[in-house]
Amino acid sequence: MSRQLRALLLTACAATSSAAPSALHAEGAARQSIVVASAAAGATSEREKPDDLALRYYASLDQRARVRAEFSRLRRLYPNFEPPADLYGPRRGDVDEAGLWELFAADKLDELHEIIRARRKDMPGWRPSADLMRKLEQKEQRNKIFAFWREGRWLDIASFARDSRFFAANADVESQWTIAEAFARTGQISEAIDVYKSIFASNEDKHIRLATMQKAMAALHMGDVEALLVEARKSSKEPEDEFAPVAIDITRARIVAVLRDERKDEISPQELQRFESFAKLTREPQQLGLVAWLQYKRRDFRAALESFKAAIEHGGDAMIAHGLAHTLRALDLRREAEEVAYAWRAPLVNNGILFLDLLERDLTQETPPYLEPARLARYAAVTIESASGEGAQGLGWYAYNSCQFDVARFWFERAVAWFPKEATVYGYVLTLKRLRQDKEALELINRYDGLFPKLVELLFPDDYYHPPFPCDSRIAAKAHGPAVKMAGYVVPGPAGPALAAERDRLRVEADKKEATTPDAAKVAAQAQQRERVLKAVRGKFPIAVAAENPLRFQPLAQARSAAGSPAPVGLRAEPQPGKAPLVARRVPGVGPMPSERYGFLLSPSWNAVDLATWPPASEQVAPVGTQWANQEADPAWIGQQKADAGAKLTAGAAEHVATAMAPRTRYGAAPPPPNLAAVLSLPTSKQSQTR
Amino acid sequence: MRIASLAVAALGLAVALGLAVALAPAVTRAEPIAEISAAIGVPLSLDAHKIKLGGALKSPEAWMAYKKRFIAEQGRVIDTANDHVSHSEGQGYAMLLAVAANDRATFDRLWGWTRANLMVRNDELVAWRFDPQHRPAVGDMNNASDGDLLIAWALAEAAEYWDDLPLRMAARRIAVELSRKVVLFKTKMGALLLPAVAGFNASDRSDGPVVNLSYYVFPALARLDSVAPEVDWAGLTQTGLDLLEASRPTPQTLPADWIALEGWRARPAEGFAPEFAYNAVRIPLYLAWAGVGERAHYAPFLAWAQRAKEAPPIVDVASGKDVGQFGGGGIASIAALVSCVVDGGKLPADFAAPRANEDYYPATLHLLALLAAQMRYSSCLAN
Repeated sequence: MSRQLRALLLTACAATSSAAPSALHAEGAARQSIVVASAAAGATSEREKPDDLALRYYASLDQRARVRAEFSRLRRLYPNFEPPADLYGPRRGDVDEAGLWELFAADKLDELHEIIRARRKDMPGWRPSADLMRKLEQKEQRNKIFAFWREGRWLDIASFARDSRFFAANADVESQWTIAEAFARTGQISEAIDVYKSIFASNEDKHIRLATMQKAMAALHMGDVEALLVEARKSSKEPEDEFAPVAIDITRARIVAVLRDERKDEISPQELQRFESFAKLTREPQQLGLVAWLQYKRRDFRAALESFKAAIEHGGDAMIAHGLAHTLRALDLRREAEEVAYAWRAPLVNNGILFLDLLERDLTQETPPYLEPARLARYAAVTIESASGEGAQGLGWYAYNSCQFDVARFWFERAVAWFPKEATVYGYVLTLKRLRQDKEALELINRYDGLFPKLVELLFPDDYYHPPFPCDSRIAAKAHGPAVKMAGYVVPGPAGPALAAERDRLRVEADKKEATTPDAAKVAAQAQQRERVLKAVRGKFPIAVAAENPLRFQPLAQARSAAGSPAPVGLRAEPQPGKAPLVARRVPGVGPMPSERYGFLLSPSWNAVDLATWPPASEQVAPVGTQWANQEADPAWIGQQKADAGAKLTAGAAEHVATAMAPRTRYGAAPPPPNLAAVLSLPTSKQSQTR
Repeated sequence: MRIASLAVAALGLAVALGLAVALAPAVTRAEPIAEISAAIGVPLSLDAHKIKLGGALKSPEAWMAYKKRFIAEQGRVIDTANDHVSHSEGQGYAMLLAVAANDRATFDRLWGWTRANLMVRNDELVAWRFDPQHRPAVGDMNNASDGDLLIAWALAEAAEYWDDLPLRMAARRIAVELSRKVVLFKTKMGALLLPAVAGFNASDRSDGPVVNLSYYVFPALARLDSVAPEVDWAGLTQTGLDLLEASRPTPQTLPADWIALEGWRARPAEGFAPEFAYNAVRIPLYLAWAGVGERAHYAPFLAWAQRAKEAPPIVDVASGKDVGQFGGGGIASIAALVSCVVDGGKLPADFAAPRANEDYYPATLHLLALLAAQMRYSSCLAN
């Protein structure tokens, strides 16, 4: 509200002020001391000319009280009387101002003030010319604006401009550009547009007009610039389109608007063609890059690839490389994308992230593909140097699924320290069990009771058949190449082809088994199994465990350099823990616990919700209207891969993608247990939070 | 809403001008500008330029005292008034303070604990609540958007200050995920920051979307472009400021902690006390810390701050009546900061030396207010 209020007030005030005698504006100080009725006094004849000699005399002596008295007297006689514009100004024969103007020109304003002060002291009644004072004030105001500008104080510039409309309206064009930019940057768009409009209205110089349009394009959304273009063309004196010299800039701004989702209208093919030719001609990487990003956005990946390549060849930066990597990914040239992202990881963190995420899909496949040792080595290096939980779990799964459990443990430990999501802790527990570290595994299962159903399911198996793990068969020894020990980390050996063959063999057997097992036998087996499970968990679940995850690992570089780095000083001890509870409480956002089917009940959640959440938070779509939900993602986001690559995959390959997830069974793949039907109707809206 | 406030503005104008004319003596007519300027106050000219957080805290004793009271050896920040639980927000605050205090060792502890214990969601966001007395300790899979913002901001500042790639990577991942999962960028009211992924959108609540204006951490929004430049953080700031105006029926009304925007009309959200309380009290701190906002944005906070300097009240936003008092003197530091920043009020003697017996929340806010003053309002500390 304040913005409109202030604008209205200022408009009103400006109207009032402008109705006052103009002479009062010539000299700021006079405004405060002389009070003059406004022009509302009505028409008076000009027959008699008032004698202002006395008034001038008092003014020359700077005797303000007498000036006021004389003015009042004259006003009574001549109701329309207005003080002369040069009342306080210099007259012929005054002290020469040349020296003062020199100081003014040399920007020695402090010195100038000093001299004026001194001279006024020496010569009572002397005042510098109104012209000098006005220009001095303007220069100082200008200096102030540019001082703010140097510090990026846009709000200050905007409020200054609002408060000194007179200056803003009469400033030089450079100041006006700055003021307009300040309005634009502080969200006062209509004020910014007004300033640009006034520049166009009051300037015929074509260079200024062109530059103003460029400034407007840099400061405003293109939608506003389009309106300004129409307006400016109206006031144009040129027969031709005066903005033709900046046509390329206009197109560029339109492209940027499209890329920012700020423009719905298509840009005409001719206009785009002109810009493309220009970009190719200039060979400037940023111009070529813009064309490339537009093509990417339009999902014309082939064209985008050529443009990004050209931009890189002509010196494109890491962001251009980022676009190139995404384009390659979208074309399913993932191997090439990986190379580009890796090569450009240092200058731009986006590329490092993309590199880690690109290979993660291959690493986490249930049957891990062969990957060259060098690729695995550099992936491991980037992961450990950047302390990436995403990379660490990828390496963990790759090692686990290729029967390298010690290596898997190394990476899962780190993954659980850096990003302990459910699938990752699950992988860690599976690995620990393989390594016969049952105590550690049980500790984790109990720590995450109530939070991670997949872990609890290891003790309370579901009723579904799970095919055997290939590493249990004889091929385990041949499942992978040798791991490589590096200083501070270990690189998994590449997975071998024996794995895939074994997996297929086990699948076929599993299908046969499923088909030949009679139903009655299944039911009987279930009852027996229930007893068996309850007996098996005795002493293992629930047990009291520490609530916190104690795993910590530093990124490699830091770990090396900080071998003797100081521990933090002056931290407090944890409060004495009470008795660790054995009953899990409900966690909003988490589905039912497998243990519930065996009678292990949960207590209500912190906000007194008693039922499980279904689907769990991990399977819910983000709020409607978010980028995530709308799939209008930043094209640089890795999740786009499904949208981009999925369409091109063959049916067989698509199935491969769908199953290429770790762990094997995902949420949502299996329906919730039948006895939890009530859970299904639970609204998730209860998840609120207060302080 | 905008049209309505315009009408109010026009009314205010008429009143202001009418007043000026009616009271003006026949001869010595006062300048209306002066009159009106006095009525609305001269424009506020705050310093909003970007300031790096690293090393900005100049009170090593206060930081030492804070660590000793609230940060456990493993890096957990303990809410001493609330059963010794922890919040993502608290981790974020302490991480910010650690960067500002140039305390890398403590920062690493804090971040190490945070990711090992709160990053249990299957995205890059942070679970908001941790209570070691319960099984499991993470009490909710939901995130809290302010906690995520604070942590991402702290990571971004730490990455810059210590030139650290892993921290920059982590900052970017959280910041980008947050912008993708909890921001509704194109609503009628601008860019809405939902308080969490679950539970606050129009599809979740009949009065939704619901926002919490204290989750618009303005100083974080001003700095996150260093790790996620493609996100319109400035748009979020503008919407935060706009919502502050849109959410109050009169210019002097304080905002409620939780605000429902159903039908794009702002009112206190259902199921929450319609109060200016522990959440919203951070809004003026964040405004001042970022150096954003105009006098009108601060007006209700200034009035609140000046009404009861020693013991600022919790206020029922509908009736305007005080309904309680904030626990802990640290909240008064926000009031003191606002008074100084907006009105040149003198800071109390103990502003620069937080009391040793405060609980986590007021003590944290006090230290943040001190940091904000040291970063942006040295003149406040000079007197």
